[in-house]
Amino acid sequence: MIRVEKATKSYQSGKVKVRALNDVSLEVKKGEMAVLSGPSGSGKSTMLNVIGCLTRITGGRLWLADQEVSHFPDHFLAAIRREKIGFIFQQFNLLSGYSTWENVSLPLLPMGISEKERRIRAMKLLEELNLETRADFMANELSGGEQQRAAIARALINDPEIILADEPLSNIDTGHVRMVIDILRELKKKGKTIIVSSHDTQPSMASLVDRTVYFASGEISLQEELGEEL
Amino acid sequence: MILNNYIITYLVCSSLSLVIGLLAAVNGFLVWKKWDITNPADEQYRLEKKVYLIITILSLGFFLRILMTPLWFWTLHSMIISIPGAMCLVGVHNIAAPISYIASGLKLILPALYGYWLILNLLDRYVPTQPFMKQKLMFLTPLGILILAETILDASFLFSVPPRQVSCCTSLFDVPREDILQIATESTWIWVVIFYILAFFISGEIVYFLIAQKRSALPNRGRWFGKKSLMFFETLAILLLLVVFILALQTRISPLFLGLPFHHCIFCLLQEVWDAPLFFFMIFVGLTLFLIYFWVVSSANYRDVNELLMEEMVRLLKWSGYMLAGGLIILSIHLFLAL
Amino acid sequence: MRIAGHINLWLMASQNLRRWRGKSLAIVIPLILVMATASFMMFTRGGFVKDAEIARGFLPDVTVQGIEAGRVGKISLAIKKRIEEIPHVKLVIPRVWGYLPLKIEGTDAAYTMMGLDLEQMVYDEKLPWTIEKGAFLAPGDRNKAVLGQGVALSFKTDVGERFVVEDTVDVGERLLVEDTLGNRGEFEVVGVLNNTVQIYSTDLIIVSLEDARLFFGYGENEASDLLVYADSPENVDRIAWEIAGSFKNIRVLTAKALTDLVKEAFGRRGGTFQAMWLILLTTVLLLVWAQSAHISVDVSKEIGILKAVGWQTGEIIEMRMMESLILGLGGTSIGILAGFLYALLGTPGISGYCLGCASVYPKFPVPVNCDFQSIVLLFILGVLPLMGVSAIPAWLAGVVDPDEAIRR
Repeated sequence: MIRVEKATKSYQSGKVKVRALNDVSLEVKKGEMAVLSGPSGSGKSTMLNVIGCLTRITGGRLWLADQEVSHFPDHFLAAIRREKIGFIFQQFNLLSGYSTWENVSLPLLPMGISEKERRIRAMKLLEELNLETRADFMANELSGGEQQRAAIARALINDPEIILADEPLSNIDTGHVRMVIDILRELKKKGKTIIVSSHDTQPSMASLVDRTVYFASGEISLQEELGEEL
Repeated sequence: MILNNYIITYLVCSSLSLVIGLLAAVNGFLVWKKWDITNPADEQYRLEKKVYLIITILSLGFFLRILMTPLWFWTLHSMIISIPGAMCLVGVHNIAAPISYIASGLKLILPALYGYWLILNLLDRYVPTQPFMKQKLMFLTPLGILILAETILDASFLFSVPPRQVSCCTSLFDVPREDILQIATESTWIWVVIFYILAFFISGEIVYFLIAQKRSALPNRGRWFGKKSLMFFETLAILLLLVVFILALQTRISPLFLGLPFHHCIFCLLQEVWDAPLFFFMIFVGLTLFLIYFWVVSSANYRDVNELLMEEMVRLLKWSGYMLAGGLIILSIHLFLAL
Repeated sequence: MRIAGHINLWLMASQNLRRWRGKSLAIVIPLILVMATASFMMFTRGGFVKDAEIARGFLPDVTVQGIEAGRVGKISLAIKKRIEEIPHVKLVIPRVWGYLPLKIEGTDAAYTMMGLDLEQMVYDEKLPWTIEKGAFLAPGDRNKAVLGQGVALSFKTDVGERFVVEDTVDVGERLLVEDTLGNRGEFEVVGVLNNTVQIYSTDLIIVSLEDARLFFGYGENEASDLLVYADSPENVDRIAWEIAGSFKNIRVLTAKALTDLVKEAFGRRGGTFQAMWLILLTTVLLLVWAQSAHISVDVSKEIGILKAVGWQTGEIIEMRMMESLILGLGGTSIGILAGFLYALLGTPGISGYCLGCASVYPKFPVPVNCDFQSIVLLFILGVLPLMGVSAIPAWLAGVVDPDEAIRR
């Protein structure tokens, strides 16, 4: 489903060139849940962004759903982000000037779907996530946990095959952590491929995880599949 | 210099068009030099960003050009009162022929060229490898030069209209002149007949290529893909058809539709007969779309992406057929009623 | 993208403009002012041009004036008979007219007194005016006048001024005229014209031919010009050429030439104003550039998020261009409306400039004409440069890197 081969990613930071990823290779099969683990700055979020087509690798190759996308042009990558990938951000990243349901339905807007249809689809997801009563509240009026659920709903609006979550449990309270893990469990049951980046693996999530990839200084230091080291 | 609202407005649009054309040409050249699909992805991304700039400004430029065409003729029309002897657009053109006629011709050619680029760009974006990228970038340099030439012609015409007497259309078309062949000026049906023969031939070609395009995915089909010779042939055929069309309008259709046996002026026809701009536009657009089809399929890279672009190419041919057929029908009905 | 997708982007663009109200108003208010300025000038120019077009239908086919030492002067009636003998000439009527330079409340103003041959100059559709009050002059009337509306309206003068009118000059009242050249006359006002063609009639005092001759000191065989009428429009140019070729020291003007002269003069004035107005437009465009080119961190992050959830670069660019289009269309529409209303109200404050230096003392209402082509020109001037200036900022917004934008 997802294959990365010798990927490198460099950023220019002033006069210095920073290597965020260095010759990284990994593979995540369809329906698997993988966790990218490591301290801050280890490259796990960059890896997630690369897989999510938010940024491009400077070297190496990337396959998504059996299609090599390494040299895809920008608009093809955008189409992949829209149709195949649902991204849940660490800071939720809801747009403050829009209501909850409008935020959830943002990916549908350029597809020409009418406002009525967009609301119906958004409400369906919000109901599943127990957020329907907050549908018309502005995004900045929601609590942290509610914002996280809204962000999850937005990521799922196009029924993507791949779910990417960047530190999904770090900015919410304990009660909501349980809830998010349950959501991830449900998604895995539906056959979604899930990749989560986390600096700190929750024990309650361990049973879901098929593969853990440890990052350090932009490289993979260790990969484990179902508890076995690869 | 004659100075009025139309001229000022036109000059503003012309300046904007020039800026757009030059910006697109310069950026197009710079990207064309470095474009290579095997480049590192972030280098390609940097170049793609520049391509987005080109697409943005050329899209605006196309919209601008569509407005500039009628605005140019309105501007010329506004100058009639200031030019002794001028009673219509031909009189105004005669102030500085042939610069004025070339400038007017470019008002039809440039939107067509913009349209070609935008259609090529649209097709290019359907394929991940963007096979027409270099071709469309390279096209921008001659396009930019043409826009610059047009701006210079427009400005030199508008800034230098002298207050002298000019002749009008009747003296151009009805009084025999040595520098114009009589067959191109007298009232004759021959050009109308030749026009219809050529138009039916082209229509037949559209139908043929429509069927052939749909079958082109089958083995051993689509032999015309990548053939430059066919592109040249079709370009010549369509240009010939356009010239014959102009002659048909001038010699027989204008006097017939205007109800005046000696009035051959095409400008008067387009101004005074309500459906004349409509059928003229439809025939012109239909032929242009057909020509664009050939320019696209004659590209060396086209064969590899034919299946991916099948639906769009069929749509292009269909629209070409609809516009040409529609224009011919309107013209034919009017001819029938006028006889 | 389907059409529905473009519509959605349009709606989102409108929503963004409402969200960033301050920035939107900072662009749209100057645009409204600038377009209002262009509009009222174009509509007033159009009003004069339309007046000239309407008047053309009532002007004589050919006007023959005498030339003395290179300037317009008197014409001898001896040539009247010869002109009448030219084929296709239906009628030749002498006319005496002149300017009345007056001082009104210390301000110089010019009116026109015109004497007509009332036997031949039948009051019918040939005359470029209709009576609003009273009646037109009848053959044989002496010491009677019909006034244009501008003359009839009221104004007071100080003691010692030359032109004295006690109150609104109306039908049945007496008009005392003494101009700065010493010409004097007293007339009973029998009618007031309406303002169908203000450009020609508002400053007129129409009297009989004999009264005008007395007032301006013309002899029996002299006139200011001869009005020539043809038997059919196709023969006008031929008659004009023949008159011009047959006599010396005359100037021959066809109705078309007179109309074109007015149209060209006002066209040139409109063009000159518009050329200067471009400076104002450029200022607005620079303001738009300054507002749009800088993309704040918040906006950048927002764009990054949109791209992260699947929006394409082209869609972001299109949405930003639509914002400019909405601002341009909105600002231009309101500006045109404001300009039209200002013109309808008589361009208070600058009506003198609009009318030109040879204006009738202030009561002359500025003619207004709003036509389709003027509206199109105004929209082109208001919208296209704005979109041109917005193209690069829209592109800069569109190519924001989502990864970098979200990290901020």
